[in-house]
Amino acid sequence: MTELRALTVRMYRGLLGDCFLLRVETTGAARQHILIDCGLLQGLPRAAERMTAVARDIAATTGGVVDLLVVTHEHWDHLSGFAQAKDILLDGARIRYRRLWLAWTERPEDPQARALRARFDKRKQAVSRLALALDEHRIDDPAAKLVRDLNGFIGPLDPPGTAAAPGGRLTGARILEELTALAEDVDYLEPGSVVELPLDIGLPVAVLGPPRNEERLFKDLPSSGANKETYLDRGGSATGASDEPDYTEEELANYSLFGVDGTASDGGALALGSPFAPRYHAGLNESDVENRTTSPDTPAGIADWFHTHYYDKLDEQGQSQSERRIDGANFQAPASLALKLDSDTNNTSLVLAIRLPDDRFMLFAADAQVGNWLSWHDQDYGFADRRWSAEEILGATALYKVGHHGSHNATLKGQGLAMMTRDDLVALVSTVEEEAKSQGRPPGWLMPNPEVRKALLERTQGRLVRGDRRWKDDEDVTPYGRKRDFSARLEEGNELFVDYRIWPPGPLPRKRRSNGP
Amino acid sequence: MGPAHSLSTKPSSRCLRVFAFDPQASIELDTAPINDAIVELPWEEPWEDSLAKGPVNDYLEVVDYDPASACFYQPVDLDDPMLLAQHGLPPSDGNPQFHQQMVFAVAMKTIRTFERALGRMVLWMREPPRRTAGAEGPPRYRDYIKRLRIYPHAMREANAYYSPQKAALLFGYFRGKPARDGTGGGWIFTCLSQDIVAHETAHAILHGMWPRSIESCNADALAFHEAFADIIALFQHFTVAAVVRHEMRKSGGAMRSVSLLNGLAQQFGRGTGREGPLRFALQMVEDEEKELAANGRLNPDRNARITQPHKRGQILVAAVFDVFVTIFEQRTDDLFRLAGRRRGDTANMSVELIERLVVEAQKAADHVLRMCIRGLDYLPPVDVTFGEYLRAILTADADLVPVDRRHYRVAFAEAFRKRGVTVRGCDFVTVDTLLWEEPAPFANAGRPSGGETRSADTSFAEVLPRLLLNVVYDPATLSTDLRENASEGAKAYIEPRNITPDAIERRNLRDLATLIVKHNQKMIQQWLAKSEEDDEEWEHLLGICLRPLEFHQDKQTVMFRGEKPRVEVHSVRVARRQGPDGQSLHQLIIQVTQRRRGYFDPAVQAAADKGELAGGTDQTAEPDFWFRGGATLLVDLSDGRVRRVVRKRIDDDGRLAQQRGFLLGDPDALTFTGQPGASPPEPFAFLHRSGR
Repeated sequence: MTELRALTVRMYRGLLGDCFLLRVETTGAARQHILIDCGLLQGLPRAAERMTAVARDIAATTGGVVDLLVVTHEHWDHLSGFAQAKDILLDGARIRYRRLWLAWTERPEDPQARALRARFDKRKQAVSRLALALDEHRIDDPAAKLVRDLNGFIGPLDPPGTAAAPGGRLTGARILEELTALAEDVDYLEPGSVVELPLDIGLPVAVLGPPRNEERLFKDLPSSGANKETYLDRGGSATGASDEPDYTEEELANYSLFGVDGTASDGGALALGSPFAPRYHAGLNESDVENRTTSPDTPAGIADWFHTHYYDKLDEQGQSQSERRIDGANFQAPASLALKLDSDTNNTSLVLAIRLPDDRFMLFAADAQVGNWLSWHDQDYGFADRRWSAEEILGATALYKVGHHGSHNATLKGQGLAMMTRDDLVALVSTVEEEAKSQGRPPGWLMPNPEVRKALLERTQGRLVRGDRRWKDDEDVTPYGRKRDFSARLEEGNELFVDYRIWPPGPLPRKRRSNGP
Repeated sequence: MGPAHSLSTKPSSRCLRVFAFDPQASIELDTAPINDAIVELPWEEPWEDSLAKGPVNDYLEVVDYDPASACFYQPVDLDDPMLLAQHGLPPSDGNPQFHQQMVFAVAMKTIRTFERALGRMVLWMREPPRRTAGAEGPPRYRDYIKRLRIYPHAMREANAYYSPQKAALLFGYFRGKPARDGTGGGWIFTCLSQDIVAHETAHAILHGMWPRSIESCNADALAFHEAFADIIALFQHFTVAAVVRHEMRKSGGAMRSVSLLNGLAQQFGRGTGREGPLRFALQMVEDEEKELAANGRLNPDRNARITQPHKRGQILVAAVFDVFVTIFEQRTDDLFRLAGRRRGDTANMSVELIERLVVEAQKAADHVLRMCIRGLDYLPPVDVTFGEYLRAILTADADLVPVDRRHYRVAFAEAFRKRGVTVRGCDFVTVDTLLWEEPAPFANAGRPSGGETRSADTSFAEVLPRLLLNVVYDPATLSTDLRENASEGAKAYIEPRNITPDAIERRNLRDLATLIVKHNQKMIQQWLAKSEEDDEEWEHLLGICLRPLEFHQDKQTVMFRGEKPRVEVHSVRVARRQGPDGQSLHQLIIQVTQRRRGYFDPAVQAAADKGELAGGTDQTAEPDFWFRGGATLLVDLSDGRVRRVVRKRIDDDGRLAQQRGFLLGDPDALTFTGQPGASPPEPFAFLHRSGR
């Protein structure tokens, strides 16, 4: 009977995204591979180059056969590799995908899944259109920047008219379509089920999320790094109830910048169509007033009045008034829309807990947020020997793939990390902190969030491996000491990836020089 | 300024034209004739800043900047002779200057309503801006700010909100959806909707008097702000005579009629193209009426399952509306008997009857509104629940109007009880059991002198002389730094050596009021900080910790500065109220709070309370949430007695557990983020975008 001889988890480094390759060696059979996600955030420098390098390594390591591909959710930072390196990864001749695992949310005939996709699509398109318009007009407002950055998670929008599907489907969805077509077999996983890996060794896998319960599905926290934004609740509320009707077309249209007729109020500057007749704002252009340039239409003394009451640092009483400006107020609603959409999509992540023969678990939590994590405890999981509760699974977790690059809302405290009680817990966080900082409003996105990082280091006693640092050089790990039994399992030689050998358990024999992957 | 003796007298009021209903109503024949209403405001007094272009006056500053259109609109000068002659610009939704005029008029009307009811001037507060990590400069604190700013065209969105950080009201505008009959579909401006402007102004006023009310620590607290602002908007609606007349005629004087309630809901919603927040409240009343008409029974617990804050708030609105209608019916029953008509019969109503009904409706609305506003002073400073608000309204009214001839208080108690708003521990029937109790005299325990019974009154008498309780002209007790940092308007009062006619012109009563409030806050703070014999009694009375750390070994989660606990004196205000029979009430209202570190894990909480948490009682360690306690003290200035104390004890572990439970339902609480329940950057923007 086949036994597991070795299992190595490869995290591809330097990605503000996820890409994990599991190498499974069993007695008597050839090595098999599991690929979980492949992508990085849109708009990062040299994205295509990086993904191509990763794709080449995947092709080389797997020898052209991926036994199981898991795509956790439809965010660009988990999917982009298939577009950027499509010559390698979407070429049926170069790579065969024997099995594809997706969440039930992608199931084509499922009515709930269809309704969900329709809801998301509508909002995605509104946000994307808005981001395009903001780009086109080079509007440089912090909230506008937020919309653009979040659009990075949505991915590019097919220009209308070129897509096969009418209405301009999103490219992320097209990737999923292609993969579904390429794969020899597709499974849509239900939460609460226990499936077997389609490998020679059928290790059991508990499917923890995403939940079907809409209250859980929409319970999330919009991710915005340091700044907390307001959250919307249309189409799924922050309090969980989704009894509010979803956005109508007209309401989404309000999130476009222009009046319905899109006319400009005066020829030159950044005119976005004031609703009032031109005589009411002749000569009162924003830039003219701010820079005190007068035109013949400008009434006398008006620029001074606006400076006293708006632009000056101190008002007439000598109190500070720069915080009272509303320059960004116009984009707050679209920004909120974008944020909520972003976190709702994250919450549809497929979450898998793979059970090793010694009853340790590897938890791949994708980008699951609050509601998804909470839903794991709503049911228990029927393994062959007995039923396990989510708490027990978490208590047996030996490897945790940290959610959403370590951001604050994708790792739960009490109902999550606190329950991972194994003292040999290892955490892998795929992130590039510097790149994350440049996204969003200053100080940018904190990935990993300092609180999360601290908690992870505590819990793992220093066994936290980051995608943007070598573990042996990581200063955060120093206070915990570099334990020999752990460093023996890490292979950090290669620039492109880091390998963690989770199986066999126990102390490894002294490292031998080895060639090849 | 003109010659010293002007021959013309100052006008008593300034009239400004506004839309009575929302602008849509102007193009409907039904309502077009009455869509032009006048708001009458008192003319500016000499001790207020005069009205300038903007409009900008002592309280408000309208700045018409339209970021979505990248332009400004010229500020209107309401003192322009052309405008004075015609009561301001004629209503027009296509003229931005009219928008400035209307939003100013409605906001000022709301402010004056509050001032009359509260018996003191409205002051604004500004929350400090969010502190980003690594920001330089000293930390900013919450502070008083002179003028509330209003942006009539702040964003292109179907929303309007009050921003505590900006101390500003932001009104949005957007393209509407055409109605089923094809009308509408043009630009809709939230600043042209009386109820929306009144609602937002009420938020600002409430925040100014009660800064911590924007923090959510229980389901009722979050809902209260919204519900209260809705109540203000609803009752301001009934102050427009033309509107009420129209409604009386259509409904025959029956305010509970389904068509009227529907009509009201529609109007409140029309401004933004959908049925508004009051829809739910009015729907609730409508459903109850239908149920009663069909001889059904109303289950008093039917509202217990409503936990969503917005909907929960509407229970309060429905209850208050019910009170108003009950009182109106009581006041007008005799009119119908005199006229020999049945209420609800719309045929052939005489003009005189309608006029009398209008007058009664306005009176009833005015009375109910004032009772609701006065109740605010009798609330605890943190963590309010609806049951407490009921007690507050009743107590406030009882203190001012000892004999309740028309049984208004009974109407309130009944309306709340009918909707399941119960008061814990008060299951009796008569209203007097619902009033807040007066403080008991102090026990003599452990006092070396023994003998005479001390009470809160004798103890408080020590600090009274140091407070400023009136307009002052060179108070000796004013501290130097307050004196130096006072604004011009206040300085003109307190510097007698510089009296020139010019200085007298500069005097501004609100500036002086701000100065007096700051002074009084400081005095009370110092008095509480000093160690006194009565500290233990005061601890019990106020529900906070006053004695040094050694006495509170089991409450080490309370914030201490060295040995002494930290106490925040929230506000100290003087209020002068008039009752209907000429009674006057002169009160000092003090709010004191304290905070305590709260943790989600009860075991951690217990350890922290005893000071056994790892890391010691590190005062800078961030807790999971802040738990607050404190009290509102009401002192009758006629004789210096402490009449009422409304407290929330800081050592109430049950309440802490409840708050913990509430917060754990909040997604914030479960993840690695900042404090849940702390005021998010734009709390009202959220509440308004959600569910409305």
